[in-house]
Amino acid sequence: MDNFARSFLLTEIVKGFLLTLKYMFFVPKVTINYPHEKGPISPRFRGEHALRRYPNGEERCIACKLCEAICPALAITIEAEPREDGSRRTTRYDIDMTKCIYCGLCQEACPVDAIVEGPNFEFATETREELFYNKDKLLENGDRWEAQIAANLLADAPYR
Amino acid sequence: MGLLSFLGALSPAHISLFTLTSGGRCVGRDALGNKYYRAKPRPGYKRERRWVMYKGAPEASSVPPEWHGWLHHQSDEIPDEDTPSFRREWQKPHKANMTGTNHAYRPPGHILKGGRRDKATGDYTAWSPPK
Repeated sequence: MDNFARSFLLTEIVKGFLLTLKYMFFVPKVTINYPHEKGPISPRFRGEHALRRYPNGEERCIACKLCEAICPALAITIEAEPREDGSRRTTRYDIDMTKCIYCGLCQEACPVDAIVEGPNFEFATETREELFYNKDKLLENGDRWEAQIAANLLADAPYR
Repeated sequence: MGLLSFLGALSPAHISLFTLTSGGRCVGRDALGNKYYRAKPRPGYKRERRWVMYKGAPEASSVPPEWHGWLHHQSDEIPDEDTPSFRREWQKPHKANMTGTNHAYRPPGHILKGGRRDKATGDYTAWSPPK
C-alpha cells in the first residue's frame, strides 16, 4: 500500500528534483572557468618532474640512484660515470612518465633535492613518445620552473 | 574546424564579460603579455578569485612559474619587480606546452631526432625468456 501510494505521488522524483534545485541555486558554485581561472594547489603538489641545479648553476644530481631504487613503478633509469673533473654525475637519467604514478617517493628519497615534482601539471602530450623524458628534458624543466619549485620547497620546509 | 575556431574566439569574449561583471581588478602582466586579475570571493567562499586573460589563444600552460604559483593560490604575493624571487641568472624563460607542434620534445631515439639512442654503459643486461 505504501509503495502503491508512492508510485502515484512520485515522491522520489520530487525529492530528486529538489536536490537538483538546491545545487542549482542555493549551494555555492564549485565550477571555475578553467583555462583562465585555476583551482588551488598545495606547495606539496606533485606534478611534472624536474632536475634542479645549485644556485651557481651546477646540477645537483650525484647519481646515487636512490630514486631509481625506491621508484615503485620502475619508471627511472640512471647510468653514471665520473665526469672529467672527477665528480660523479649521471650520463643518463630517464623517466618514463607513462609509468610514473606521481607518488613523490623519488623526491623524498633524494638526498640533495635534485629530482623534484614541480607544480606543473599541464604537460599532456599528443603522442606517447613525448612522455619518455631524458636528462636534458628534466634539466630544462628545472631551468624553466626553478623559481616556483624553490618557493614551494621553502613554503613546505617548516612541515618536514 | 570552422566551429572550433569560432569557439576559440568565443572563450576570450566570455571571460572578458566575466571580468566586467565580477568587478575584476588587473594586478599585473607577465613577460608573455598575459594579464592577471583578481576579485572578491564568491558567496560561500573565503578565497579570492584569481584569473588570467591570455594574450592570443587561451593556452593554459603559458603561465610562467611565479604567476602560476599566485594563480593556483600557492602564494599570495603578486610576483612583480619588488617581491623577492628565486629566479637565477641561469634560468630559462617560460615555454608553453609545445605538444602537437614541431617544437615538441622528443626523446633522442625518436625517428624525428635522428633515431640514434644514447648508448648504454652495459650495467643492464637484456632479459631473455626462461627455457
